Amino acid sequence: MVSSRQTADPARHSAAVRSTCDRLFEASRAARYGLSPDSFRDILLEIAGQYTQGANDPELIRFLESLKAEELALARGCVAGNEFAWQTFLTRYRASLYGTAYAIAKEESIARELADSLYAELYGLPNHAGRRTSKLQYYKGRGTLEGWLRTVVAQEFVNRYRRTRREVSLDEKVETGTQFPAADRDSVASPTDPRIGQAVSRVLARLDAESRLLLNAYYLDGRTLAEIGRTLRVHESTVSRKLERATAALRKSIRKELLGEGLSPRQADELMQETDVRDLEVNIRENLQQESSPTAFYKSTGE
Amino acid sequence: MTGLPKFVRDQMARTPAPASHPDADVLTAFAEDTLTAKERQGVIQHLSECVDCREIVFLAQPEAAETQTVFAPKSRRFTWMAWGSLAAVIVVVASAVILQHEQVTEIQAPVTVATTTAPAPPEVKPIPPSTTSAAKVPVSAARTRAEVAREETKLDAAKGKLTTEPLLTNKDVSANEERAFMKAPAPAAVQHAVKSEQVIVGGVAPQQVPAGPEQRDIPGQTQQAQRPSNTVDNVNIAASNQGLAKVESAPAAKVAKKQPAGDFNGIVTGYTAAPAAAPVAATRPRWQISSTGTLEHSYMADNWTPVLSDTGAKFRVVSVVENTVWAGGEHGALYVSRDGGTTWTPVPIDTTATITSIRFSDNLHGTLETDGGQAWNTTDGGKVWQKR
Repeated sequence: MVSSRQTADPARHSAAVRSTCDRLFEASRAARYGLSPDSFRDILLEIAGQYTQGANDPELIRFLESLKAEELALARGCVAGNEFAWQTFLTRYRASLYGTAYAIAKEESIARELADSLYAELYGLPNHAGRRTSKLQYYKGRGTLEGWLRTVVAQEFVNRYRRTRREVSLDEKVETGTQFPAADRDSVASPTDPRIGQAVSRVLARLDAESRLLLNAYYLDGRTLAEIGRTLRVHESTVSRKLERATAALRKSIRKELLGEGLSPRQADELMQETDVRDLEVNIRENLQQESSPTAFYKSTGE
Repeated sequence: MTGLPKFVRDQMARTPAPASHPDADVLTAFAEDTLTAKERQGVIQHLSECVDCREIVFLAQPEAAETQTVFAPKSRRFTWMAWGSLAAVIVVVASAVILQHEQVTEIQAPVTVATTTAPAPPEVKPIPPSTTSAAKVPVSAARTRAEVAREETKLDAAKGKLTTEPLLTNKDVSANEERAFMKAPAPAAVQHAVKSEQVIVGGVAPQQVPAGPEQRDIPGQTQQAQRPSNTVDNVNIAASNQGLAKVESAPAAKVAKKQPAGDFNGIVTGYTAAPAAAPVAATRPRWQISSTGTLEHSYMADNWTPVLSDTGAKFRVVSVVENTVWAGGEHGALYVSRDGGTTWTPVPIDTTATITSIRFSDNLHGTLETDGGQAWNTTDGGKVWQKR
């Protein structure tokens, strides 16, 4: 297997690969960002080395041509401190960066803080040796630079704000009023029965990745069908169809496993029909809205 | 859809997260569908197990933000009578546009006379920016040579007054960074408000040379200035790499001086110029924004006519995509002309900020940005703008 260092050595590569690098250098106009053909070629081959270890020349060329060369050149020009590169970056992406932060954070103060700190990291903070190191050096051109910036903003937001919110202790849950259903002592078919947990784990482990992703995104993360469709680049109706199929298959498999664990069909069906507390609220609301008999509250006159 | 019982959801949530995660590049490439099939499968596998990476991918979607629809059709169901009415309206409007275009063409014929004999211009009614009606604003008629001369005098005086409003304020960067940034000249997006800045997309070459003595020193631009004013080169945008189809506004003149001669034209960047295609008809005007924020067009060299002046809007950016012209400015002013500038329609956009950028990568896909950091996208040529 070819190591990334060997892949980055231009002397190892055929003329076709070197020619591709030179062509990308011209097409991306990397020279205006202060990059030389040799330095740009080194950048391309280093990136290729990280993702295409052991690839032959046609695969390597295909990979190189799939990179966003112009944006890569811009990013690396910024990393190198080229003023024109940084001006171009500002013109193109500053508004987008702040706009993304606002869209993700939804709160102006958090968005501002997020965008400002990321902005500083992109420009580059001096390290212990006094050299400026920019976060843009981690951009490798697999996706667009704008998309990469959005992802980085989202990453920063999740790391700083969302992860802490998700890690809520049991005590905190009790304080916020989350209800925990009481265990039914008379029935062996309790969700707390370890056999049931094991049965469900076995079924979940057999799920294919796409089905697990759909189920987790919809049932755990609360994503809408439209959001899932946009992320997976399929139509919303396709997501709905796949999700319905995955849910039905999962329920069927779990029921089968529960029967295998010794539960009766009735117990298994009761378990699978168990509703969440939130669903109970809806039922109560519906019950309260039922009309009562007109004479229900009138005292009989005895006539 | 039948749901999942809580005990199943609880078990799903107990799946341990993977130790390593794909980097931002790979997640972006996944979202943009540019990974190989094997890589994509690997990312799907990871996302199915990692709640953090799922959240990042969903949050990073550009459509995750609030969607604001402008000019959305009210109903997709039309009765046959409604279709008939619509067809009749289209015929009437098209006839009016054609007649008016013929009038404008006659008025702007390249004749050198001391006074114009153009017919009285149609009454221009002021249109408030917030209106949603599709009112048409006729173009002002030609002016006398005296008016043109006065305007040129104003423009010459304004040439030396390039405002250099910094893109970054003190609040935006730390003290260390501010020193580096404040030395840099003002970015082009702000210079749009001053003089001769325009973003041209869709393969149309720049139709004018930016003002400023420094830029005239660049041989490429000197050659440009000599090009006949009514000739436009259709430049094919090479599809060699992503991002090259985007056209950027001119960076500051000071930076432009550093570029190799002939390599940087000061306006259109990021594409590989192909040999000129068939020339465009001479009736296509050139566009500029004056130092006072007036949108102007010209069919003849140095003969500029204000456009949309009765609206009172101060424009900061103009963008041309073939026959469609977009003009954006202060207080969310946004106008579009689909017939090369003959008639205009105000486009309501929910912002009071200044529109500083209107970019189209092709006829359909565009981005609009304000100086407040807001942005909108369109995928249908500007009929609907969705807020990011």
